[in-house]
Amino acid sequence: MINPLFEEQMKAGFMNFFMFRLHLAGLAVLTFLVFLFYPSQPVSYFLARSVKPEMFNIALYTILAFISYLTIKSAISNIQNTTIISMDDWFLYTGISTGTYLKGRFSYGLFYSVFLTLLFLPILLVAGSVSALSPANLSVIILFIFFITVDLYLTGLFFFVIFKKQHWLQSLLVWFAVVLIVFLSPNLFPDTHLLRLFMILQDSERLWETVEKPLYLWIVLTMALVAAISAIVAFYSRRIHDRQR
Amino acid sequence: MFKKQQFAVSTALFLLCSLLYSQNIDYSVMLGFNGLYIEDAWTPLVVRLKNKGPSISGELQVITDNSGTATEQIREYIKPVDLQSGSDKILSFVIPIGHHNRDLMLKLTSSGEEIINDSIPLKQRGKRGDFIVVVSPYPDLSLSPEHPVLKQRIVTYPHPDNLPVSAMAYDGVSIISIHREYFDRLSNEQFESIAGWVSSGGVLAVWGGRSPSPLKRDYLPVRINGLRRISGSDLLVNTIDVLPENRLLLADGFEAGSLRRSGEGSIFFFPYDYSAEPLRDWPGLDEIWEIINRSVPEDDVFRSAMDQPFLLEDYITLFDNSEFAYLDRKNVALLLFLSASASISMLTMIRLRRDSRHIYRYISLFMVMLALTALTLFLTLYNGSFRKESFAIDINLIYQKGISDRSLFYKDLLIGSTGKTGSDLFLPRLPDALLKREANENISLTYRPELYIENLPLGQWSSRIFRFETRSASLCDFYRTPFRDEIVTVFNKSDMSIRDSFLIAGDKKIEIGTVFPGTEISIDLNEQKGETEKGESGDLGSIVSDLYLKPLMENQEIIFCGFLSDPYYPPRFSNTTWKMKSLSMVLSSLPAKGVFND
Repeated sequence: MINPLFEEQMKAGFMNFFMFRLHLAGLAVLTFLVFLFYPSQPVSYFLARSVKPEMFNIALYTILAFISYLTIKSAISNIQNTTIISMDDWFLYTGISTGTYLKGRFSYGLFYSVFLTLLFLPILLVAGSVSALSPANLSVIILFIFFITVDLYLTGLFFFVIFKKQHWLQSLLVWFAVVLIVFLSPNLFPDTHLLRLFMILQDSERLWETVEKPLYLWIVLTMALVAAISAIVAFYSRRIHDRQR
Repeated sequence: MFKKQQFAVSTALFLLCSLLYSQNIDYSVMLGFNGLYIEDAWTPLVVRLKNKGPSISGELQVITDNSGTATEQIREYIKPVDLQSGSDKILSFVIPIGHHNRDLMLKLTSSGEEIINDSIPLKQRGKRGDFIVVVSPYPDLSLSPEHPVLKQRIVTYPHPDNLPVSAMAYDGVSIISIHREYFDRLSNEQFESIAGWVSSGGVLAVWGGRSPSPLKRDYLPVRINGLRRISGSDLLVNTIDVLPENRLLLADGFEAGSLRRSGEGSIFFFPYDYSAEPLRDWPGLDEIWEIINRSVPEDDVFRSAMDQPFLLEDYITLFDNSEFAYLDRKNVALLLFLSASASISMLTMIRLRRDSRHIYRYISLFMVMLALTALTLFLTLYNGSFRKESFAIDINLIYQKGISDRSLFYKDLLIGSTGKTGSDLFLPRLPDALLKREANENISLTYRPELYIENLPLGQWSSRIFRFETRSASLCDFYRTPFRDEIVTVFNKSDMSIRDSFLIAGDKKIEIGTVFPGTEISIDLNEQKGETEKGESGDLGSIVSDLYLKPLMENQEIIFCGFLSDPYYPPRFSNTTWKMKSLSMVLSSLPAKGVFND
C-alpha cells in the first residue's frame, strides 16, 4: 500500500502539466547556456591567463536556481490538479496518522531531490569535465547539490506546516528566507556560504577539510528541520483529533 | 570610598603604563610610490621603526589578503627585527596587492608578545595601469595633458631616497625618468635593482644635470666627459662621446640624446638640462617622450600572466589539476546533445505515462537509467584508459633573454606539472613549485618543492618557467612484444621525427637515437647494456628530461622519452627566442614486468 501523501505529491509533481513544463524549461535553459558559454579558446588560452572556463560555474548556478525554485514550490504547494489540500484537511477528512503524513512528505522530498539531481547530472558532468574539475571534486559538488536540495525542500515544508495551507505570505516568506540566506550568509557565516563553498570545492586539494564543517552544519540543520517539522505536525494533528473527538 | 579611589588610581596607572609602553616603538609606513600603488602587481613597502624603549628582538610581519574572490590569497612576509635601544631601522618589503585587497596588517612580535598590531589602510589609492616614476627636482614632464604618455600612465614623483631596493618592486613601473644628479645619488642597491628591472623590460631615461661626476657612467649609453655652459645662456650641456649606433635622432635630424638596449629594456641618456629656460617649452620634448613611450615593450600575454603575483599560485593549481580533459567542440556538443536528450526524453516518457497508477515505478526506472547514463558519461570523460599509453608533454622553457650580469630580475622560477596527466603515467601528486626570489624576499608558497634545479646553470636565465601541457592525441605507440616481454617496440605515429630518444628501465638508460615518422624500432632490453651514469651535458633537453624523469622513475616503470623535432608552441606566444628554447617531449611508460629480475 503506497503512502497516500506520496501518491498525491507524485501526481502533483509529475502529472501536472505545469511542473512538466518547468522541468523541461530548466533543462532547455541549462543546455542553451552551456552551449553558449562553451569555451571557444584552446587550453593554452586558459593556462596563460590562469583561469578556468566559466562553463561549470554557469551550469552550477543555473541548476541551483532551478532546483531551489522547484523544490520549494513542491514543498509548499501540494496541488492535486485543481484543489489545494491543506494539512488540516488531511487530518480532518482522511483520518491519517501523523506518522503517515510525515513519512509521505519526507519520502517524497528525498525522491524528488534524487530526481532533480539526476535530471541535471549529465549536463553538469560534461560542463565539469570541460572546466577541468577533477572527478573527486566534481563528485563532492554533486553530493552537496543533493544535500542542498534536501534542505531546501525541508525549509519549504517547515513554512508549510506552520501556515498549514498554501498562502501568499508563506511563499513570500520562503523566498525571502532563501534570498536572505544566499545574500547575507557571506557576511554572517563566511565559512558556510554556499556559493563560496562551491567555488572552493572546485579546486580544493584537501577535500575533507573543506567539506567537514559544512557537512556537520548540514547534518545539524537537517536534523533540526526534521525535528521541528515532526513536532509541529504532531502537535497540530493531536489538536485536530482532540477537537474531532 | 577607598575602593573607588583605588580603582581609579589603578586604572590611571594601567592607562599610563599602556600608553608609555605603546610609545616605545614609533613606526611609519610608506607604501608604493608616494602612497600610490598599482593593483595586481608587486608593490614596495617601507617600514621605519624607531625604538625609544629597551632593546627588542623579534619579527615584523606584513599580511596581505586578497581573498575577496573565490580562492584564498593570503600572503605573509616576515623579517627578523633586532632593535637596540634608541636605534631606528628601515625594513623594506615587496608585497603583492590585488584588486580585492583588504587593508594590510602589520605585526611586530617579540618573544610571543605583540608590540605592534595595526592595519595599513589602502584608501583606494590603487591604480590600474603602469607608472612613470619621475625622480627629478622639476615637478613636471613639460608635456601637455593630452600627450599619449600621460594618457596611458600615471606619473608619480617619489623622493630618490624612497626608491625601493628590489627589482621586483618596480613591477608596475614602465618608465623611470631620473635626473642625473639623482641618478648619481642612487645607492648601490637601488641602482642594481633598477638595472635588473631595465633588463626585464623597463625603460630608464636619464636627463643631463649639473653634476659632473658620473659614478655609474658605464651603465649609460655614452661616455660623459664633462659639463659646459653654452655661452650667453644658462644652458648646461654634458660633453659626451657617443657611439654612432647609440645616437638618438629626432625627425628633423637633431641629435637629442643616446639610446642603448639592455636586456629587454632600454636606457636613454639626454645630455641637455631641461631646467634651463630655453628648453623648458621646447617642442622637441614631445617627440622625445614619444620615442621613450614607444620603447616600452608591449605586454606579452604569457609573461604578464606570470607576473601577476596573485595568479601565480592559481596557475600552478591549474596545472596540478591535470584532468583538463579538453575534448574538441564536436565531441562535447555530441555528449551534451546526448545527455540533454536523455533527460528530456525521460521527462517526456513520464508525461506519456501520466495516467498509469504506478507512475512512480516508471519514474524510478527512468531515474535508474539516467543514473546509468551519468555513470557512463563519467567513466568516458574521466577515465584515461581509453587513450593510448603514450602521450606528449610539451615543455616550453621560457626565459627572459639578455640579462645583464649586474642583477637578475627573477633568480629562478620553476613550475612543474604534477598529478595525473591523463594517461597511465603518474607524476608525484603534490604540486612541485619552487620559487626563489631575490635573497631579501620572503615568499612562502605552500607547495613543497620536489624538483630541484641545482643542476641547471642559473646564471644564464633570469626566469625559467616550465610549461607542461599534455596532449590527448597519441604521438607514438610503445608496447611489449607478445610472449616476449623483454622486447619493447616504439612506433612513431606522428609526422615529426623523435630525436635523441632513449629508454629508462630501472637505473639504466638506453640510447635509441632518432625515430623517424612512420617507422618503428624494437629494442631487446636484455641485450642492451645501458649506461647507468648520466653524463653532465649542458644540453637543455637532457637536463630537463633528467630533471623531469627523476620523480617518474620512482614508480619503477620503463619509460621511453624523446624530443619532437619541431616543438609544439602555442601560436599566440609569438616570441621567437622563446620558441627556440621550447621543446616537446614525448613520454611513454610501461609497467615493469620483471624484465630485470632474472
